[in-house]
Amino acid sequence: MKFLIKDLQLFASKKGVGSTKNGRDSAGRRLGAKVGDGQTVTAGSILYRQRGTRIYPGTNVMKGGDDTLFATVSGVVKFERLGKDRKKVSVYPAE
Amino acid sequence: MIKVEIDFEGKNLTGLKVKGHANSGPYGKDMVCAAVTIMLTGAANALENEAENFDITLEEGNASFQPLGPISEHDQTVVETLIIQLKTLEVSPVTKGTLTIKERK
Repeated sequence: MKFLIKDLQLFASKKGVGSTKNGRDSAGRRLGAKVGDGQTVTAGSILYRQRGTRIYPGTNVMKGGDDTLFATVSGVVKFERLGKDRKKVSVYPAE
Repeated sequence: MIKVEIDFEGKNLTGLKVKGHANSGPYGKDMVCAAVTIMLTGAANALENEAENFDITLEEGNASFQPLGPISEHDQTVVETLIIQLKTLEVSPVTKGTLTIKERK
């Protein structure tokens, strides 16, 4: 007998075999930039939501307790380099 | 659903292909799948000189019997029995919808 039955389920679907203890996740925190470079904002506007300082506060920008960056004056937003490999965001009052 | 395709030239079989999944139960308890597996394996063993006369594939979700030339009366009977067994599955109330057969003459 040349052909032996090694698997009685040759034509069975393997989906749903066993279960997993994973599959949970929290809702997205909608982090990231809230305004674009060159955009005009008013004082107090949130510029960037982040965890830790991916982007640093620049001129006329402060960092909140949850590392959120916000404008302290009305003006135009500028994303700039900070040193070799870091970024900062500044707000310059419109002339 | 398991799809069976059978090709004939006149009365002679020129190919039999079986693809897909029965999905008639969870893996390990899929009875239709087990039935098809046994029929195909049994038929493969029943053929005469199958190494010379047939190109046979029996793997997960895919099986095929490809005659390499005219087949003996004995092998013709084996193949016809296999086809009747598969057709029985196709039309039986309990296994309806788990297998379809398409014949091309």
